[in-house]
Amino acid sequence: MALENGTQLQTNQASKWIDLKTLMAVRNLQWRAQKVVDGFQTGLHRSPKHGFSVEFSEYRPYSLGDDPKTIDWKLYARSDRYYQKRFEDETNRRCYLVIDQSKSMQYGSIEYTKYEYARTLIATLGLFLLRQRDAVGAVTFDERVTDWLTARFRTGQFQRILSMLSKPCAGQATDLIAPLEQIAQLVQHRSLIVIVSDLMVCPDALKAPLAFLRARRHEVVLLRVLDPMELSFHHEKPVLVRDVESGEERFVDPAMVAESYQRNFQKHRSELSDILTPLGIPCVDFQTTDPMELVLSTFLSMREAVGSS
Amino acid sequence: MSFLTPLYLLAGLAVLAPILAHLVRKRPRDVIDFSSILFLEPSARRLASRSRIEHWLLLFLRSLILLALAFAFARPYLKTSVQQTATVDPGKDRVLLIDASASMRRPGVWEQAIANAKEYFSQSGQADSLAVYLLTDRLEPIVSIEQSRQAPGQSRALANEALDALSPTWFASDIGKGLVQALDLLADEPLETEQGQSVRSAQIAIASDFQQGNSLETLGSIQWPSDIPVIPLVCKPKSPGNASLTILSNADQADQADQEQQADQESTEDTLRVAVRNSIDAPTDRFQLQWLDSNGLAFDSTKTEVYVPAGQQQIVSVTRPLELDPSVPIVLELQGDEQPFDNRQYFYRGKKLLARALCIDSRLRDSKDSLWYFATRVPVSQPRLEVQWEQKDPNDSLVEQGQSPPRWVVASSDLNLPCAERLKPWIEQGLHVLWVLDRPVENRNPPTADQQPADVALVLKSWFDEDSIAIFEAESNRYHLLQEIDMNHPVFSPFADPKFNNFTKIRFWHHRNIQGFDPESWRVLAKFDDGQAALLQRPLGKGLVTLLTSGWQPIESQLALSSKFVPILNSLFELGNPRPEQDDYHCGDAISVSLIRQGWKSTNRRFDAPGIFSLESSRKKASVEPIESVLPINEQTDAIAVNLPRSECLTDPIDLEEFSRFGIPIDTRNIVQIDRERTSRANPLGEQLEASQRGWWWMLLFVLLFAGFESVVTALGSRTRTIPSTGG
Repeated sequence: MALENGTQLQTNQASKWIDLKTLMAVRNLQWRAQKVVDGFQTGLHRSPKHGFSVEFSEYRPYSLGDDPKTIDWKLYARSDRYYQKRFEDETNRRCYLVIDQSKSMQYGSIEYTKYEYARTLIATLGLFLLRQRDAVGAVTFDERVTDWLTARFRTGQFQRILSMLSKPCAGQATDLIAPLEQIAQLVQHRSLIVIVSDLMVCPDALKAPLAFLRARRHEVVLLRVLDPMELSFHHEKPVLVRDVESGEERFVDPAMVAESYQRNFQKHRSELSDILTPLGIPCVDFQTTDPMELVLSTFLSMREAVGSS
Repeated sequence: MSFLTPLYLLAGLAVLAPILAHLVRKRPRDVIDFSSILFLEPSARRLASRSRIEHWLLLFLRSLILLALAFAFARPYLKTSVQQTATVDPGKDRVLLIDASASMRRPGVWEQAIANAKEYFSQSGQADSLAVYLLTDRLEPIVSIEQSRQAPGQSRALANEALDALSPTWFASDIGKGLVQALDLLADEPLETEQGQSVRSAQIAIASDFQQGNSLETLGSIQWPSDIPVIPLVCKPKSPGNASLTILSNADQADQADQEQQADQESTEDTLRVAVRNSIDAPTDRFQLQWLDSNGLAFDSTKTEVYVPAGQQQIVSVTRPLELDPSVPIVLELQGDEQPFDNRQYFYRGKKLLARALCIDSRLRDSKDSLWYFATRVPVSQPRLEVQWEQKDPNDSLVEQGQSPPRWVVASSDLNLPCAERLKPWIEQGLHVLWVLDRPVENRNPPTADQQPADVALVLKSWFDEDSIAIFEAESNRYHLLQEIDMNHPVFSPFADPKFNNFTKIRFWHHRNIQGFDPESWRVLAKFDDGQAALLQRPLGKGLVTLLTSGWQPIESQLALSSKFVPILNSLFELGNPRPEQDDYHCGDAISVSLIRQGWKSTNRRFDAPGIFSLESSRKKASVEPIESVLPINEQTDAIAVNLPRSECLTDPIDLEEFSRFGIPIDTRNIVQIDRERTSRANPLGEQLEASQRGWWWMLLFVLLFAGFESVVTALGSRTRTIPSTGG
């Protein structure tokens, strides 16, 4: 669904967005993020809580037991009735951007790899959220958490995130279970956890750690990054395929396996959905050819959905 | 078209290999990395359909290369009319050596040998000649090469008939010697057919158990021709393993027994050392030894248990039955072994003989100037002969009452005429006298006619009736060395080797010149460097007189102190007293003349079976005759024991690779196969045609051409091939 929507958006707004190939050709990650986030300056998170802010929410008659400080005394002066004035509370949400650094993320059949795309995405999200005055942290992991930056809103946080992302990744296999459990234990406060990964793991293994995160009342968003080749495996000749993570080699005749690949891929995707939907975790697949703006807008709509839920 | 070696054409089947290789889907050379093979199912390799062979040209070229190679090895040639008209099988000489040694008596071995031999003969062609030789320690013709060539058509029947009549002997076998003799026999016979067109090939087969007792060392002395293969027809016994026993002789005992055991030699007469050997493949390791009498009956139930692990040898001491006289022949049997042919040892040891030796010298025994002092220190005693020395004054009686006459006399210059005359009859009957002129004589020059002759001259005159012998003292202003030594004489033959013939360290300070002797009667064994005789000898009747013209004492010379003194004196002793006849023989040993003189009755010249044989000595019948007193010691034997040759007991098989060490082309393949190959090779006209046409040469040229062309095609193909880009 997300992909379909994304495709529509892409066709409508393609002319406004920066050409992704051009963007990825620039080495400066900060520049990439700033260019993408330009135009997404405004926007507040709607808080489920009421509090003091500039945004008026509603008036409500005072009843016994309410906090007297919420009484609108000006209105009382005019109407001689006690009313409580309620505002929409502006919160500075904590957000953790989690990026998968496993070997499979190093794969790319086009000019750049999935990891290159993913870290641009993380930088973009990070800058966007920081400009919203959200506290943003970042986590990198492969088979375990390799780097940790606590969510803060302070000067230089974006630079720290960039510096973390600029480290070379030396991960091997993807093991989402151990890192997610580690994250759940490390993140004390309720936070939004955005996981950018290719999710090349067995879906059943994801269930327990994600449920654990949800049980800790974190909001989880999965952004799945896929290479075009992964969506439809094709090759001209029979070829020996080597798994970049395990090193295992497998003789593959593309003519024979194309269909089964699609079938297996869809099966895996549906299994993922079956596990994530009950947990209330949205998961969107992106190709590395999708524009960043599309991902960002999709992310915002997902947040709204998550926020409203 | 014909082929010299058509079997190589089978190599043409290798053409299937490239075809299959082209059909099989190749393992892709390109490996691509992929993020995860989670969704990829492995594809099975499969044979491509016929239409999917991609490189027809390459396949064609590679097949041609292999076919051309096979053709080249098959040595093709085109038949011509000349070749077609001359296809006469020249036949070949097949020489079968059938091992008839004692080890072939093991159960099943001989039958197998005969069967193998017959099978070998059944492979022969009509024109082949089949010769059969019995192989023991020598070759014995059964059907000789010459006989077999005379009737090649009937040769097989003749050979089979001869084989049926054969049986194993008790002799040892010597494959090395047999092969050399067979080769000589083949070389002696002309190798051309009657037409004189082609050369007959030859081949030697050996039907044998190839036991380790066979000696191959003889083969090292010849260069084996490469065109005569040796085909081993190996025969194996029905049951594995073999144990054997050997009674160690005195010499063996001396070699093997250490000092402490020699100290206990009082019981040697009753205790014998027996070596029990067990073969490597032996199924059992426990045996018993039991004494039997010469008729094969057990003396008592006493048995000696022996434990010999497989492949080892144990030496045990076995006590003879106590009540028996040591000189009674006896049999020792090994029990518990399944191969009975070598389980009995026949043992006989004759009585020890005594011999008197006289030293005629008037000087004190302990004086180093006396002959006694050094002569008696030389160990002239032998295992069966004990020498008892006695010193006699020349004026004393030489024989006491009841004493036997002496067997050796060593006399000094003290020997006078009366004593010499007493010795003369004994000398004539066989006594050996060594006369050492160890004292200076008065004359410095040859005595004139009016001078009284010296005592020495008188003695020699009385013995040999020679008047002209003159003795006088030689100049002693310098020492003299020995020269012109007669190395052919038994006294000096041990020194014939250049390593030992240095006599320059023996200096003679004084010596006597002896002149005027008859050079034809006297044999001069050595001379001094002034040309005078040093050691000379002359027979007298049956006896012998040896004259040494100097003394061996240090005052006279360095002879007694030299290392050559003991062997010289021993040889001189044995001149008159040959070693007593041995008591133990082995099958195959020649029967000596002395045994025949003592009454040995046999038509054979060799001992052909083991056992104990008593002699009917003629001397016992004539015991009153005085000649008995000087009968040579070596003719005093009552019985002899004949045993199996020791080498036959070593039944472990030898490694056939040993033959190749001597350059012998051993062919262990199937006999038919060898024959076929040999037949194809023995086609001289075909070989000539093939050599002139050089078909193989052209084939190899094609191979090179095809290979070059294939390389070009491969290179072009690889250049045009696109390698798909991979991600990563």
